[in-house]
Amino acid sequence: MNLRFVATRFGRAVLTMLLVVGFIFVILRVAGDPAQVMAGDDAPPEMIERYRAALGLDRSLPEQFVRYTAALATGDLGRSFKDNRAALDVVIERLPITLYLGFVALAISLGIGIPLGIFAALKRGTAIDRFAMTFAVLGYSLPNFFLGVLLILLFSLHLRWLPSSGSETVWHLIMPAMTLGTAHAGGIARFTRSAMLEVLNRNFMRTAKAKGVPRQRRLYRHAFPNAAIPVVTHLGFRLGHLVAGAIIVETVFAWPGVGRLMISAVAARDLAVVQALVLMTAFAMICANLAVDLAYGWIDPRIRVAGERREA
Amino acid sequence: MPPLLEVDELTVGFATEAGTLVAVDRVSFALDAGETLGLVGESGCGKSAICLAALGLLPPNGRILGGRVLLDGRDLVAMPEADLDKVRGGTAAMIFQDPLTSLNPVHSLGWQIGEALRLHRGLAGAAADAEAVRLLDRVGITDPKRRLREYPHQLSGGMNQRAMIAMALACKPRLLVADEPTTALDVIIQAQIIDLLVEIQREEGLALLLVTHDLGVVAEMADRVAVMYAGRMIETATSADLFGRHRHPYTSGLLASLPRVDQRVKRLAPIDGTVPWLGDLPSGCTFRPRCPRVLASCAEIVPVLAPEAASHRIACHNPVPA
Ligand SMILES: Nc1ncnc2c1ncn2[C@@H]1O[C@H](COP(=O)(O)OP(=O)(O)O)[C@@H](O)[C@H]1O
Ligand SMILES: [Mg+2]
Repeated sequence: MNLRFVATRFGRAVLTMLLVVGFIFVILRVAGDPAQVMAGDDAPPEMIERYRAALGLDRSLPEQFVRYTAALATGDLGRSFKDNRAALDVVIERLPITLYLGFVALAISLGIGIPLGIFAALKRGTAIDRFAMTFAVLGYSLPNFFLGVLLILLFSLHLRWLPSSGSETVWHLIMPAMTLGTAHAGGIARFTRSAMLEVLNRNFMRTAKAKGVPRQRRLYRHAFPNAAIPVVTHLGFRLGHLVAGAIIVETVFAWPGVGRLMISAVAARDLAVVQALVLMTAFAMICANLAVDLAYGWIDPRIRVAGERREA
Repeated sequence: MPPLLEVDELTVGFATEAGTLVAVDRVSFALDAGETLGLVGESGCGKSAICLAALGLLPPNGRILGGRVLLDGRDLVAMPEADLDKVRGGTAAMIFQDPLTSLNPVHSLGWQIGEALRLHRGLAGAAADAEAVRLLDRVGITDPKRRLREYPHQLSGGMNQRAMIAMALACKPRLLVADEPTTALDVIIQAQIIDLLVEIQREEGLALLLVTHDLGVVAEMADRVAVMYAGRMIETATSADLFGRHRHPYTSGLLASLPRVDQRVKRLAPIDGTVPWLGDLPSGCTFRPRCPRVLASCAEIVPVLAPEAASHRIACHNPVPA
């Protein structure tokens, strides 16, 4: 992969992160007085003033922004006033367990969605195709909380096979990961199916056949790498939904991750923690999109190799 | 000796919402090693359908409704897919109209040519690379070593068509089917590709089935010509006979549209009226509504090509006097 390609994608990611930081800075100051929010509606004025001074809100805006970004750069995202620790620490300690859930869910959604989509495309128009697509629509149209509650009713309350809350063992992981994973498997299956169908009709598939390439190899070496290009792009869009889904799934299954922290921090008006969460989420999304971009370039030579066309 | 390729009463249909359309109606022709047959006719007359059907490459809604395609005496129509995969790219190769979309965008030229070499000749690694370089050089691609690692989007249309030809030649085919190989290219490149095909056909002794709607190309390259109209073959003759003593009114019209025989035209629109829709063909001779020499009997009796014996055959009740 050429260096310029990687460098531009990387530069773009850094720029996006800066924009996010600026955006959060502005929002926090436009959406109301943070000191007022933190102190509560019925706080006495002198208490609000104390908060303002402590937060540096009494300085000029440019000065605030410089101090704000400088602090961010050193990892200082403020203190959680609920448990009086660095907000970043509060978030980071919850991060691994959410990533664990997220990656397993992503693996499930790819592991089910991609084969299902390919299979449906190859069996297009048959009962198998319709069955797979019904499953897919069900997967993504059932709200996460609903599927989660159904699973709890069946596997925890009725059959008593799986624990309904917590994260201590692998057994705890099964239901939340399935809930989150199947929701995305459906969308990925549908997307893979249509990408595959589109590719199967392309001229180069006929060329491969004319060359004597056997069917299996035509599908896996000629069609699939081309179908993977839109699927990977689509995955980039999905990551946002994955994060949103995680918040709900963590709440339903009492999974002690970042999603639940978000709910409780918002409820407690723990502004520093909310801000740290938003920044972390944005950071994670930007990294994930960077990864998608690089994967995309790796698969598609038209992106990776700048085309210098020469005449015959 | 039997001919290398013998197409016998080939009939091809496409399933559509309007029912099955017969795009190729009982077409027969034969092709010997070292010979070039030009297949001409307006767009939509079934030229591609013949080529694709012959090699088992029809799209999912296309079907061979009847006839045989004998290659070296073996019927490809009845052949199982696994055996066809050995024939395609082996004995018989094909090149297409649009070289850029006909090559796989995610694989390098070396990969794509190497695949053919591996599948049919068991070559791999350095041996395959060396052979691929030789093939690219053979079709006039400069700096072939570097091109091996390049992708179709990095090459011009002419270059890609050369690469397609190299890929088709990879397994030393005896039959090359070329479906409008120059239509998508600019005029100067067209001439270069035609020259290349002529040279390769002569040197390798290939049987070449050349589809084109460019009569100039046919005049230059083909030993024999077959003219198609709305799925039927209406006249076939040696090149010299066809250009000198054509008999079918449709062929006359086609040729009349050329100011000079050796001048290439982009699109043929030689005769008043349009090609009928396959779902609603006129009775009898399908060219009847546009024909200047139409007779009453043309609506009743379908004219058929006279028997194989003569080298010049026409399907017409009232041919142009010789
Ligand atoms: N996949 C298809 N489905 C339905 N009709 C088709 C299909 N492919 C070709 N046809 C029809 O078959 C006829 C012959 O097409 P084709 O062989 O591509 O013509 P040509 O190559 O001479 O331009 C045309 O009328 C065309 O509309
Ligand atoms: Mg065609």
